[in-house]
Amino acid sequence: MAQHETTLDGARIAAQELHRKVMANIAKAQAGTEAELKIVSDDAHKLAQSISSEAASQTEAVKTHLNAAVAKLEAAGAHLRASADTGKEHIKQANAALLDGAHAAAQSVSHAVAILRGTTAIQKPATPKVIA
Amino acid sequence: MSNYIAVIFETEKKASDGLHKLWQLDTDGEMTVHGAAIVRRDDMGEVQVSHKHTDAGMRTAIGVGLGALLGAFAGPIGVAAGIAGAAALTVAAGVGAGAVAGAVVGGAADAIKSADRSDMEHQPFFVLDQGQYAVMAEVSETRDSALDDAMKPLDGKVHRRLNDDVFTGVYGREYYGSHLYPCYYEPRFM
Repeated sequence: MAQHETTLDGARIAAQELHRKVMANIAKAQAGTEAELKIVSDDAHKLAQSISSEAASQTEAVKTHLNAAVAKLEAAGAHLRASADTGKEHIKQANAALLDGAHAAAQSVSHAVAILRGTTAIQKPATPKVIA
Repeated sequence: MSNYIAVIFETEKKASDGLHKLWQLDTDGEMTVHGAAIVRRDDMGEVQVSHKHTDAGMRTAIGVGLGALLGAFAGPIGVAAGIAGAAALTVAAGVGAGAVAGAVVGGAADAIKSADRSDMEHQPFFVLDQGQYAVMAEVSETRDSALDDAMKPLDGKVHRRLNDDVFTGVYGREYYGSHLYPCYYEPRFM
């Protein structure tokens, strides 16, 4: 497996895990805290930086999907920073924005992974047929 | 380019196994799954979406979106029903909106079935009968046979629709995928 594919697979798993974390936070409803929100928000920020770094060395087709993922994650972060609210309603809205960002990021990175997997499949030599 | 797929199963167990197998194919690098979910059509004809036990905030949106996707698989009449289902979301903020969309799509499916049943098996769309389950997903396949071979032992029947501008013309390319879970989850019906 190519190095880029491995790194991108890691980014994809991280995006999926972020999605799970946000879902878990949303499920807590009224019990959710600002501290938990900050943890996933920081995760989203780190993931955006990681994907952005990876995008630099990719082909244009892959880069397009990765940049879309970064944009979604950053938009979720911007939503958090722009909101001056605090309290339960703030947590609820922030989690919704993060969920949207994590969801879109996971799918965008997934499409990037698919392009690389498709390229790898084409480059692999065909398996010779054994004629009995 | 990705495909939307619907794999039809007769039991919840086989559908759950099918969803698990789908993500296993992804892990093995045989295909890439961008999102997936299970729906069932209950004995009352309503379409319900299985969900994670923690997804209270997403269930309604997922129900409406997958109702529309089912409608799109069901052909032109279903697409119209999907639009009606999505429209319901704008006026119905309650948890029941997903069920409303599903019911409408189910009704459309019945209309197709009764009008043109004899030709159904030869058409690229399908009808989700009462009591059946469907694994809905957006996938990128490097070879069709990987999915077909994996679903065959589970008696799953695979249907595909290309995620192109014609198919997604009503809502846009990203609409259906945004209603599918981007990672594996243990499915559960309420």
